Amino acid sequence: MCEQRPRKQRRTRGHEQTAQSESSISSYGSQQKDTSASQRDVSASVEHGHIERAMFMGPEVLRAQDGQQPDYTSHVTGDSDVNRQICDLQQAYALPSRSIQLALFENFWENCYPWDPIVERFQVVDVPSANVSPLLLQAIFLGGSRVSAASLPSVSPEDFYRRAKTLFWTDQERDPLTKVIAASLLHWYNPHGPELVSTNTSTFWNRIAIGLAMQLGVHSAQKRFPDEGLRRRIWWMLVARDCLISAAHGRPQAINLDHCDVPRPTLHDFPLGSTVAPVFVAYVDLAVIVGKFVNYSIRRAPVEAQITDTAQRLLRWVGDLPPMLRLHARQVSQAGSHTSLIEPFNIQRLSITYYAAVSMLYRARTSDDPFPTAAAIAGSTIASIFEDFLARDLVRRLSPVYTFYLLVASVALLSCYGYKELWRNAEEDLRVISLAQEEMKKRWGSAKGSIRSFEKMYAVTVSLPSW
Amino acid sequence: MLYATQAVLLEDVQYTSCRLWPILADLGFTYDPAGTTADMGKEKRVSVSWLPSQHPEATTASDQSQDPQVQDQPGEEFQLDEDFFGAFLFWEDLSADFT
Repeated sequence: MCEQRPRKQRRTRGHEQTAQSESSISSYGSQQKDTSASQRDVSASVEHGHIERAMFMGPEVLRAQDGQQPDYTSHVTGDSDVNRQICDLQQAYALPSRSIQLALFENFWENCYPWDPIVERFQVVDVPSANVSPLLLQAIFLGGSRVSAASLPSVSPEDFYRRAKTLFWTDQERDPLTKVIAASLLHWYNPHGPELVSTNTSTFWNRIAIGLAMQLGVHSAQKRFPDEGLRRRIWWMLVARDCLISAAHGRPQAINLDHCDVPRPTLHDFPLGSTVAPVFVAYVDLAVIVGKFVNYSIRRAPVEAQITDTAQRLLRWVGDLPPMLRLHARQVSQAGSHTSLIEPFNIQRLSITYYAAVSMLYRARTSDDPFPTAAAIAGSTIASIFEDFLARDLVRRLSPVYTFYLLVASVALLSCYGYKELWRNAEEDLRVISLAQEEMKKRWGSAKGSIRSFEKMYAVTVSLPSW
Repeated sequence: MLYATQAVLLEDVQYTSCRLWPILADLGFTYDPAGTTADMGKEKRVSVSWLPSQHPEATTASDQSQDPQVQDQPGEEFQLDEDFFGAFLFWEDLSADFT
């Protein structure tokens, strides 16, 4: 374990590599561009808060005068003795050995990055740790450790989380965009499900990140960012997670898309040749569809409108899906007759979200409804993909929201109860789902709640004379 | 039963090892084996019956697609465009067969 130098020292270095690293920290995604001249502009344009209140206070000609460069500074900084002592007590600047760092980086970029593409390898890997934000590093290590196959010697996800949380709340990070990025990555901790009220869960950290992002104006096209691609990735990553958490918890979303005018991300918002880009773009679109569907339910919109509108959106989504992202592409790729650059695991993960959406859309809404064929098929498909995950030891690489998808699938499969032949197969699927939930439970407390909920639903189902 | 919209949404299920898929096929839903992805564009129009009274959700009886490729018209046959997917499935009435 080695102690990282405090950020103060990091900022005083002047050689080229340090300058480039500092650039990458204060303006993520500026990648390989010559930002030396624009770096000061980044701070000037990004670091201060974004305000649009003038739009409803007075005539247009006065708008530009409100909320520009602040001529004062806050006295609340992370430099106090108390904060330093807290950081020392929590070992907030401690870093794991180089070999563990590399393993954690690998885990992060393999498993977390496709859904959180907001920090690039070159910004932290093989960069002297003194030149990288300690908060960002701890957040990345947290993500990497949560999806790690092996137990890490002498360090745990709890350690990384505690350190990152300490650095965050003691204001050790000065760059607000880095704070947004780090806070959004802390969702990987998520020690328990929505049954408990907590300041450590995905929903908590996503809302913290959203709040900071809105202060910065990440949501508003009025605010200029030196790297528009990065801004879109950050904002829509937060939106997507907000939508999916809303579905998984049955709670309102933090973001009202009517108040945001930042365009959706495209392939051009990623580094050239990114294999994650098409996955992320499709993921965001799908998550927004799920979010709208949830909003319909929360607003108690007529069922007809829910189904018609959501089905049309899903039709368009699946129709626009690039062939390389379809399950068929994965099958062909694994057979060796076609080489796809897209990781098959990412296609499967994307597909599970999709089939969960189909299953929720076409679920039986009352026990008197006819058999919900589409929901049951979608649920069985999710089970089949998880069977593949179990066989390949991939469940450990999933984020906690997949416990919710498993629950959705299992509830749909309960519809088969009472139909002898279907139920025999559905029971097989439910066994697979149960195994997957048990595997998820080893990492994610939220799986416990899903397992318990399903057990109760199962008991009710089999007690009914007929479904 | 599966309706056109649902069938389109579930097209890729055939590439998974979904356990319910073959069971449902055995019990009466039809699947066009010629309609592989490779044959897209060659496939002739596929038509199936629309049975609004048996739809799982009463609301979807008026599920009138805005998608130019799929038009579900209650009480009528609907057709898929030629360049739409070929693999297609249709489940007559599952609940009737099991009761």
